[in-house]
Amino acid sequence: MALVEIEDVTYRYPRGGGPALSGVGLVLREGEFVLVTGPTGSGKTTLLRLLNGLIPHFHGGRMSGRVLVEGRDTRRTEPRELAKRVGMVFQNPEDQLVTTTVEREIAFGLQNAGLPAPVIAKRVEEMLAGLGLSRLRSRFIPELSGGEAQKTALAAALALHPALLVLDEPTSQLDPLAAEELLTMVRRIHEETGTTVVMTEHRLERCYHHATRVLHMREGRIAFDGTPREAARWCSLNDGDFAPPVARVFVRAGWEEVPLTVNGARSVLRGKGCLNGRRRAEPEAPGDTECVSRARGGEVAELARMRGVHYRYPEGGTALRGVDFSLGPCSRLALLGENGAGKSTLLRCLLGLLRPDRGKVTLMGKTPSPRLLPELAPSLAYCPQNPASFFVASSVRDELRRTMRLRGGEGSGAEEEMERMMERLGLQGLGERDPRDLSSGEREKVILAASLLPPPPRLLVLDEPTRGLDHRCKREVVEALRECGEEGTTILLVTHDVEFAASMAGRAAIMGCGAIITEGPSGEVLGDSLFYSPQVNRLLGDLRPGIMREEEAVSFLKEVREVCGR
Amino acid sequence: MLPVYRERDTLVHALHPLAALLLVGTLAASSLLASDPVWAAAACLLTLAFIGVGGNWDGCRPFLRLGMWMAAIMAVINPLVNHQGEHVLVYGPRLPWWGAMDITLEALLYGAYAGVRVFSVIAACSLLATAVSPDELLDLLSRLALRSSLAAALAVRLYPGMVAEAHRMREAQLARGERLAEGGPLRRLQAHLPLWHSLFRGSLDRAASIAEAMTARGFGSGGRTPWKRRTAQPRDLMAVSLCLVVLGSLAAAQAVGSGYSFFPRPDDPLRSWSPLMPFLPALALLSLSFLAWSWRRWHWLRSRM
Amino acid sequence: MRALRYSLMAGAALAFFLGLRGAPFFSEWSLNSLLLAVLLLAVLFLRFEEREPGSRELAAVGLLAALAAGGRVLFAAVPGLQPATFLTIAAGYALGAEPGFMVGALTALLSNIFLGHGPWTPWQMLGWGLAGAAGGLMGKAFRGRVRVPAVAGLGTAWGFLFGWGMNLWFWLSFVRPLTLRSFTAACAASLPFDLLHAAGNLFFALLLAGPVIDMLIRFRERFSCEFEEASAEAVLDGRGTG
Repeated sequence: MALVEIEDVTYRYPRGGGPALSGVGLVLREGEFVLVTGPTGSGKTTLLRLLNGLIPHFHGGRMSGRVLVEGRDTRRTEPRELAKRVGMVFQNPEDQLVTTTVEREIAFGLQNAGLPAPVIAKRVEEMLAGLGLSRLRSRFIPELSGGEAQKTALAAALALHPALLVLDEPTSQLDPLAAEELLTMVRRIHEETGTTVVMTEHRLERCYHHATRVLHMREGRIAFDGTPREAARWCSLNDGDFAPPVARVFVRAGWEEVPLTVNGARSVLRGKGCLNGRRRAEPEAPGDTECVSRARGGEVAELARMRGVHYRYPEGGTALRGVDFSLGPCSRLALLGENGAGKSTLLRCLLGLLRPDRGKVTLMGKTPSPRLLPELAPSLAYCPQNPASFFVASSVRDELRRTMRLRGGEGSGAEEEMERMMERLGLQGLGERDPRDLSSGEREKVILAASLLPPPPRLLVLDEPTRGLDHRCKREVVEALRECGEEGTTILLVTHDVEFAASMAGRAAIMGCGAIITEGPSGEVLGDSLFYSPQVNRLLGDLRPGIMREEEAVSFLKEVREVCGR
Repeated sequence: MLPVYRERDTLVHALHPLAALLLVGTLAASSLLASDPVWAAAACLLTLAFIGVGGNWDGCRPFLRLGMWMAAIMAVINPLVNHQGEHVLVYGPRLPWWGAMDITLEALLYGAYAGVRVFSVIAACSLLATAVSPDELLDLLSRLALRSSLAAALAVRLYPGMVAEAHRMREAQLARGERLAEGGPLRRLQAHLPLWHSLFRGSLDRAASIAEAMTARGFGSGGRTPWKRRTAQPRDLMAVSLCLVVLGSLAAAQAVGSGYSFFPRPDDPLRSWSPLMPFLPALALLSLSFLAWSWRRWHWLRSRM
Repeated sequence: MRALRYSLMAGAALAFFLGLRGAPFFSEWSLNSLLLAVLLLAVLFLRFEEREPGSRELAAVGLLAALAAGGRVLFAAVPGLQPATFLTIAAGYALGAEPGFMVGALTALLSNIFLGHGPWTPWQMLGWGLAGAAGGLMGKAFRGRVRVPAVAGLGTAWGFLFGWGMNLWFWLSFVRPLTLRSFTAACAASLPFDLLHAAGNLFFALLLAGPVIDMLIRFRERFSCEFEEASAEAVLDGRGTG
């Protein structure tokens, strides 16, 4: 018997918008690992909500067709009953944990199910041990890191021994390491327990090859349904942003093979005899692509500089231990490093939101402080890590107007400039929407639009701008940033996303233990690394040192194909 | 800001929350239940002794400082509003309706006595705040009022995130060039208004997500198994029985005793003393302190509790 | 549960009566008043339970309490500015008397974790909880339409009522003799603080009551949506609802 049968479901949310799903039919069998891909608003989340009865029981709305979970119609089954069979993990760890400690959180669903107390105790122990959470047993939930919180949510969902595990972009708010750990755990659960898994995820390179089946959605319909390899080829040809990067590169270069991972791709190349089996030594340093010549008015002074900066949080924990760096005009610097390396603290010190214990910070020739910031507003723009904290107005236009006012860019022509900027970033038609109702990609673009409004800032500081964005949004963000870099804006970028850093920045620095460990041209810093190098570099770096971007890889692979094909 | 609950190895931490609640109640009641000032002072000292030898002193200290202030306020207010008593120290002016603003020795004494009482109540409550886990208190509540306790747990869990979010928002707006740190208080308040508005709006969105997650995890109508981890231990039994001795003997003493009066002239505090009062409750309170001491220092007894 | 609530109410009445009659233990008003406050709180908590609030209401109550407690802790150093009172009243106005009570009671409970629990906690829980309940009754009287002046009036009044309630605790516990005169003196002593509190409430209500209550009502309505089965064509057309 099929685990879930979705029979021709068409659905519309109660308030606003078009139909979220139209004519979706789907059968999920036991033991599958299904990956659901598709752009924002294509109905991925809606599809997942059908599986455990959140639609219709929680969201209401109008629906035709029916959904059967283990033969029971979800419309006539209590959410309480469905919760026992379908476990769900949501996107944001902050918004799904409801109790105060890890063990109570795991027990929450079990208590709701009305299981006897000894069974609850047993299951809690089992989950704590099985997912490596034992040492966090009585930790206060708000003190957990994002990764730990998501693991707790996973444990809580799993504790009910569900037949189906549903995950809605579970790693979008996590750093790469925590994301990898969570996905590994999901794969392990799938393999060891045979639990059926359905998940959406935008880091395709991490999970595509684990899936047994991929569904691609578009405008509320299932556009493609097949094995990962078929899906990778189909998506590369039809909806390039939603294919795993390695497969996309190969398909775009015209290859027949569709490898899903770096290793798979390398064995394809090896099979063709393109790899001679030995990594070439040191890559030659590519030129620094700074546009010093374009500095406005012949300024040569540094925009920002830190000398021997130390900072220690009052509640304990040293965050910065002697940071030295400087940022010249027109440079683009990416700051990488693991969580807790001090990246965000560095930004705070740079902006004067924190006062360093020791050392000197200069920002545009002055010592920064909260009082200086309004003065600097016309030449400085900051995009915070959490887009939600940026928005205070109730519509996108108001938000942009507000920024305009703060940056002293009011006056005639301001409105036109605003419309032009919105068009440039593809935000037409969103002007009257509440920014908090937008998707994370759209929100990031609104912040960028606000930051780049004329007069263009001299310094743009971005804190993890690509968190939670799918490849399409990322590409749009990169384009906008490149344009503004060409206009002469200096960019300081904090990110976990190596691909993004490689495509954006001329220089890169890696932070660790509160200090900058290495700094240099991005090709050099990122190319010479096992984990901090972009995927295409790991794939082709020994054939073509310094290869960093997808376009380069595609054209290179075309060459290789011609050479090897001959 | 006062310190909050922190994990430590003391008897109060180790008690079942119900027993801990009774213990705190007993300590607080011990100074309230008897009207004679010498006993009130003794009860206060015994409470302090319990905190001291039990190893709770560090956590409770800021509360005790607060208690001193409250006691001082009591000592000042009482003589100002109370003009009974024979020994007038200062003759004050006569106000219409109010009467003479005299300050009497008796009222001063009563003020000091009230101060001691408020101090020892605060001292007892400081144990509740610093040594009894709020989670376990909520668990206790969840047996009776499941949904209320869940709402309370949610509030506790969401509070830090809320504060962090407010902080992040402020930083983001400052970096945007918003003048939040300038001007008079009213101007600043006004500059913050959009921020609060936004924080509020964001919170409601978060409430919606949390409600969805709760539904997805089977929260709804119908029964629910209570969370139960703590079982009663010998130490709970010991503490509870000692507390009952204290409360019982104090209540009995109050029932038979004539009651102490400060006015018009202070009674002799020793007049009403008997073995029941104050020696029995004092002994029981001392035994409680002894238990708390052995929890930290006497392995043999501890291993048997 | 209802039986328990009624017996608790009867118990409270009995304790009050015994106290008036001067029975031992019950005539010790410092204890008896605490007992009465706790019993009253228990009754109101049970009343909240009886309605079996769903996940949305609980989530909203928890969040609003966290928000109000945050506001209280943030402004603890500024006498009078007390966003907690205003938020509680607004929550009651929009969501109803019982949730309003809960928001207020939890605000006191939560913020005192940081500001210090003491014998005043039950009284503060009552003070704010009843503010929420009063807001709820007012909201019911106006059938959910937002009347800023009414909210402002209630906020101002509650500035004083809250202060007097706290004075009542203080007076019953630590002031003798228990006469109207000494109570008046206690109220006179706290008048400056109460005035500031009332003024702060008025300020918040005039500035924020409109948008905040509006948002809360929209939040409540967003979730009262019904599920409807329809044919595929009807869903695609978006006829009827939309």
